[in-house]
Amino acid sequence: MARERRVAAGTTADPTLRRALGAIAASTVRLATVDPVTTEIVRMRCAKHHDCGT
Amino acid sequence: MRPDARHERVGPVATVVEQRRTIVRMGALGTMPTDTVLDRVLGTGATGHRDVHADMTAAHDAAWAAVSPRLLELCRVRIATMLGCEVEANARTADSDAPAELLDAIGAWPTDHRFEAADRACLAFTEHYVIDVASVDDATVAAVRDHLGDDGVQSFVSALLVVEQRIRLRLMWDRLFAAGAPGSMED
Repeated sequence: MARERRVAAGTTADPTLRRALGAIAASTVRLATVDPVTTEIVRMRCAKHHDCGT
Repeated sequence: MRPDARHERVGPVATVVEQRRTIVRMGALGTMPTDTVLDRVLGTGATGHRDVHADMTAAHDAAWAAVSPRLLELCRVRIATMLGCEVEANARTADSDAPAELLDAIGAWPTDHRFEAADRACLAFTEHYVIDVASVDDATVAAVRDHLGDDGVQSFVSALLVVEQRIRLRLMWDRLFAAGAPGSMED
């Protein structure tokens, strides 16, 4: 779904918070205790829930 | 990484079951503060994910530093009440500057005159975010932006993600690791 921009171009969250969120994403991706099929199903479900097309 | 290579690193089922038993033996998570729950599940070695625990803690600290603690505390308690997390709903963050009487009346924010305009904008956003994050409308975002500015909106949403994620995660663990839970494999 295409949307109009809601904040100005170049807007960023607090740098420390942004880096911390990136670190969580990276450490979570490194986890390997869930099998690949389940992981992919969860990833796709999350993308759908968050309306994320990327 | 090839999917099959990743799969090869999956621990044996027996290990997962033992990890779960270790966590259950630690006691009922449902009555513990969220910090303690995260530490017991991720940080004490039961599952061996100290790196995730450290990153989650850092993000939590960053969230409270990036956003008005008053606003984030109001929103945290609102999220907790919406998700039915009694421990989080009753907890109070030290030095948040959120008045206790407002936190006790959080569900009445739409009509309670003690809530300020910025409180209302952020609480409206929070409720929409929790119910259906993908359908938050332009007006709801604009109301928050009017009070926090563009960068403030982005930091607020990021902080909200951290707070909501912690509550949802602990609720899931409360149930998953509850002794006697369905499928718990505990005799």
